[in-house]
Amino acid sequence: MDINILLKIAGVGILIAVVHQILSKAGREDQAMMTSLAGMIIVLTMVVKEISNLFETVRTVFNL
Amino acid sequence: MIIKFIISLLIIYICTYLGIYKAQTYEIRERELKKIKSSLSFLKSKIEFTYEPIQEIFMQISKSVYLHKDNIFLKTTEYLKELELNGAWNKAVEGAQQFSKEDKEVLYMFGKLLGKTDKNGQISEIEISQSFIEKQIEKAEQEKIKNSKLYKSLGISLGIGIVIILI
Amino acid sequence: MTIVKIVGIGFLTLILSLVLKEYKKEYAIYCALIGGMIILAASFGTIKEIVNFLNKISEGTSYNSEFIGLLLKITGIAILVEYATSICKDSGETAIASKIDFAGKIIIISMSIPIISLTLTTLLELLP
Repeated sequence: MDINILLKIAGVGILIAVVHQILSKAGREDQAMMTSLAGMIIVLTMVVKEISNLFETVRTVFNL
Repeated sequence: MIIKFIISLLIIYICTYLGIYKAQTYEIRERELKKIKSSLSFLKSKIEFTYEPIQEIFMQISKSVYLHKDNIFLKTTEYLKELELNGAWNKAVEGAQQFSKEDKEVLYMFGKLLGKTDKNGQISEIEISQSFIEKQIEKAEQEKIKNSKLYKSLGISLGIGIVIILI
Repeated sequence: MTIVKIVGIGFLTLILSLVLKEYKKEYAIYCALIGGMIILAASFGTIKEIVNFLNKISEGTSYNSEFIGLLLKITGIAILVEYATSICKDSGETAIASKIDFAGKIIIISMSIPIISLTLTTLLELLP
């Protein structure tokens, strides 16, 4: 379990926030929303993978 | 580790370059439109005061006012060898990638009446086209202000994003 | 030195989610999720040792080792439920948190029915 994924998610979050800001300032609200959604999906896939990892660990430790 | 670092830098560099390239198309469009405008005033004074053939004038324009290796005036003189003036002009405009559809429409309209009327008609025609191009320049300027910064920062952030997700 | 690492990760998660909350709230939740998970996973090495110790002890006694296994399962469920509810509460969704809590309690009770029934039957046998 390494800390990389935490930093990665934080980086993606800040970056998406910046892109969202830029796009909405340029008057492209729909594209800004799309980028937000895409970032969400990317982060969600990473998080889901890690969560399944955690559940697997819990299951093996407690013989669930 | 070093290879990873270099590849990440490369990705960021490429994305930044792409953003700047995209941003530059707006600047190029504005610059070219401005050149067309000054070429038209050159053409107007030439028509008004001299009686040189149009081929000659176009050659002079591309040598003095509109220095670009494949500008539409030079292209027109090339195409004139096989086509008549209107067709050559249209073909040259069609090949110019840097203009938007609206700009091309204005240029086509200019070409349609080129060489069809007498001297005064030509001059007023050129003046009308100049005012149209003026409007297009304004539009291009607005688009440039709006978009060029956007594409530059978008390119950089896209590069950083790809690197963050891949690391 | 695991505790130092865990505290460090905790603080890092805290700061990152505070920063992200300014710009995008969803990512702050993700950050908290992953941070909590990393801490949990870091403490799982110790938990494994404890579980092994308990298993060894239960093997030594003649008591039914099935119940120790059950107890451990209940502990696992409790840890997971606690994790989920605290994340939900952090992101302001108390309703979902209470529902997860409820479901966890129900499952724990249903799993402990054999122990309860055994206790009750022994009690009934003892009674005249």
